[in-house]
Amino acid sequence: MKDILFTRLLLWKKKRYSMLFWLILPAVGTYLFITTVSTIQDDSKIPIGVVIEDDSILADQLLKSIQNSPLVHAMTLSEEIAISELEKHELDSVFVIHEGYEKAILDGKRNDVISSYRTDLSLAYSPVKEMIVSLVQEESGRSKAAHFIQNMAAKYGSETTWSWDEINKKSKEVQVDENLLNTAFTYSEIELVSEEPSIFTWSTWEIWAILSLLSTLFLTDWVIRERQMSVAIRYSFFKFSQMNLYVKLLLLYLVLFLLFDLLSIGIFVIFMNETISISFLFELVSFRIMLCLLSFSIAQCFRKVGSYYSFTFMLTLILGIISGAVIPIQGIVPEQGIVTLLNPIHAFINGEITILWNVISIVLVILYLVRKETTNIA
Amino acid sequence: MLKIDSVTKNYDKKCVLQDLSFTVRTGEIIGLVGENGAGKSTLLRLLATIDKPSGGTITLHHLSFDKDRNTIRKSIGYVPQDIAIWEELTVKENMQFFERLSFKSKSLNELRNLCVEMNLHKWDEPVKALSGGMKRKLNIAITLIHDPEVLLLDEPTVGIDLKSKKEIGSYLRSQAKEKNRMIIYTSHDMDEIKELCDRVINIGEDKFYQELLQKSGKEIISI
Repeated sequence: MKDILFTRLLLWKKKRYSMLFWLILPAVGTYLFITTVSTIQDDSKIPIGVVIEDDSILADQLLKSIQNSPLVHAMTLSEEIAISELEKHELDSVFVIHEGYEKAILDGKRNDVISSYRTDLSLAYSPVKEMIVSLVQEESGRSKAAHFIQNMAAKYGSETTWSWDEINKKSKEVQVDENLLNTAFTYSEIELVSEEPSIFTWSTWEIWAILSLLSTLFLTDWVIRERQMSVAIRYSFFKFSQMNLYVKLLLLYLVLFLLFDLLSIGIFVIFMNETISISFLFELVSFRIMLCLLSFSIAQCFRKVGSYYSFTFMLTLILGIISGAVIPIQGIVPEQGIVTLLNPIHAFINGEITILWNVISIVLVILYLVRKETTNIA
Repeated sequence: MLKIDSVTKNYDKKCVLQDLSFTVRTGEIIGLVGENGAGKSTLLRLLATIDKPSGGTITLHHLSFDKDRNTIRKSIGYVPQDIAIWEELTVKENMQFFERLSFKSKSLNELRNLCVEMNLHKWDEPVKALSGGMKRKLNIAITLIHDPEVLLLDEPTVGIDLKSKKEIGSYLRSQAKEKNRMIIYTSHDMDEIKELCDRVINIGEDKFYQELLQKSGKEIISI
């Protein structure tokens, strides 16, 4: 193995820049893609200003609820700056949470707790206002219920007492459990895909899987290149058999890829707040083994690198689409079926260990190597 | 002794070599001549074990090319017509690359001496910057890393200057005489063949080369 490593290092040294590009592409490409998309999504949110005059828990909770909305980008500002920004049309509208907001809500009063500013160009004012009003109503209803429960407990001398926070928390649980309006349409005999309507978001590891597929296929072009080169004739006069040589080369490339996968994990954990579990590491390793073996098998089918690259792009594009990693197609491609079965990256992006395609890839590689070993002719 | 006995090679239905028999003794240089397509390169590929004969047997000291191929390969050095080296590596890196994967280990000094013996002094120069003659010399030097007993050269001096040709010729002669290598050599350069080879084998039906070489006093076998 030391000899194989030495000879590969000699070759890798000469094309270090292109190799490095393809090796770091999955990590860096995913990071850039996700951050760019997040920035674009943030930019497409409606910019609003929130002025907080009431320094209270409820006012803070309302602000957080507004900020958590996927439709608006809420900035807390002073009233003077907010109005100035509104005049410059940097903000769509401004909402002021007045002093005494918490007291008014706790007392069940809902009038004049919030006021707003808008201009003629505040195109999204109405839906944003409705959203904030509904959030205030939600809060006031919840606090009214909390007060009622606390009063009843005091009046009847209940041994159990609940804090406002406990009642508030329970209220939110009930709201989720007994959602008043929950509509889902499905075709008969087809399992419901998702119960929660959500804005489409890109998964870090799905994008990484697609880019890893592309980079692994591209870095496996050495199989075709070396076979086409005149030095290939010398492979028959090496101390290693062809099978031995290729198995060792595959192992070497696998280790190289795994090292850069660790780099990907590091980048995603540090910069993208991804969490990694032990089971995920197994999924990742099984996925990486499959990618190496499958790329090697595919490369064996091509004589020209040009046609191999074209195939590589097409395959990556098709798998990217049918996996739903790039385009939201959930519900169009059935969860279970021939399409998912034929998709080698499906298991990984669904959080499973890649078994089927590892078996297929191993069989393909063994068949090739055994054939090569039995003929043993250049 | 290398013995070729009734060897035939067919590609599909086309017969390229038919009933070929001859022997090569230790320290002997054999020249293979013949028109293009006569089967010289095919014969070298059979002797290099990278192709199999359709009929007949080849043996090296009673070891069969068919049954003991992996053992025989350790004794074979094949210099293909195309220059089989890494263009992007230096001379030193090429020698190191093939030494690491070779049947025999050699020190860096030994590798360098191998090049120096062939008048290849540009040790740290990238191969792509070398002349054709230098590349041809490196092509041969790499083949000699594992000290093969049989050296097969397919037009090793094609397209290079006269000085390099003479240097390669003189080096091959020393290899045959001093290291007792069996050398089989193909070329279209009759002066080179006359100067270098102990015996000449004319492959094919064309007698042009045979007539050309008869005056030189070499032993010419037509097959």
